[in-house]
Amino acid sequence: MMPFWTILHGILAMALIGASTHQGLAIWRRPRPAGVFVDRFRAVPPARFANAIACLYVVTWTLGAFIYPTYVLDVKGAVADYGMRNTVGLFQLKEHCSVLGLVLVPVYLHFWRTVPLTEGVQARRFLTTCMMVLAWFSLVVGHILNNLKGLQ
Amino acid sequence: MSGRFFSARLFSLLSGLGYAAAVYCNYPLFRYYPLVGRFSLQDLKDPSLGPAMSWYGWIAVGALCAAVVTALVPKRLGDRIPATAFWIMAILIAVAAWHREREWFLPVA
Repeated sequence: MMPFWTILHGILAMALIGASTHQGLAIWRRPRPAGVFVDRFRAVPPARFANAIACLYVVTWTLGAFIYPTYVLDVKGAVADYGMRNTVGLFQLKEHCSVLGLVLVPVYLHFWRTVPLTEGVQARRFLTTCMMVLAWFSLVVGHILNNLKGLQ
Repeated sequence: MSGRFFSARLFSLLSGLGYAAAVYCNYPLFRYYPLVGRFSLQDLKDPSLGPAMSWYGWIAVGALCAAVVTALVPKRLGDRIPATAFWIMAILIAVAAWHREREWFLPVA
């Protein structure tokens, strides 16, 4: 059953990456007509993504926390035995980064849902960019480790 | 979640700071032993139980501190926390994480 949960965790992480990247790039964009593809990618109303990103983050994180003990038993020791201590260290840092994202979710929602969009622009940019970077870092590190030794 | 009855700013800040302090001091509320599926408030230091996981216990420290204080502090006070505090909280978590995990990046003696 663990491979199923791991794959679902990965699929949800992909959805989170898509939503957070749209929002993260849109929030730094100056209002102007969208010409090329990159502009059109960024020309989305970023506020509409907030609820989806918060929900996806919490669900993806919860799934990750659920499969984490299996990783500790089956993967961590084996990868360390291969001599790839840096890779294990990166994954350990990912776990701390994922908690940082989780604790930011309430204040992220607060700035998107409660604070008027004309106020707190810099805080909203910081929080949104933070969520995007944390999601990317977690996905890349998790993917690397899964390629080295997946759960069985 | 947007904080009608409690301050989301205060909850986020305190849960982050609590987690950073718990990680830095290695003070989990409890440990989980996945090999035997057992939780313990103490470090059992028994090799037959397999590896101990402190991660859930660190998160519990942050969540518990934040929940208690946020319930006690009026929302209007919590909502005065400036956004700069979240930068500092993020940096403190990064420092604590590096302090705890740096051994993985150092050469084995």
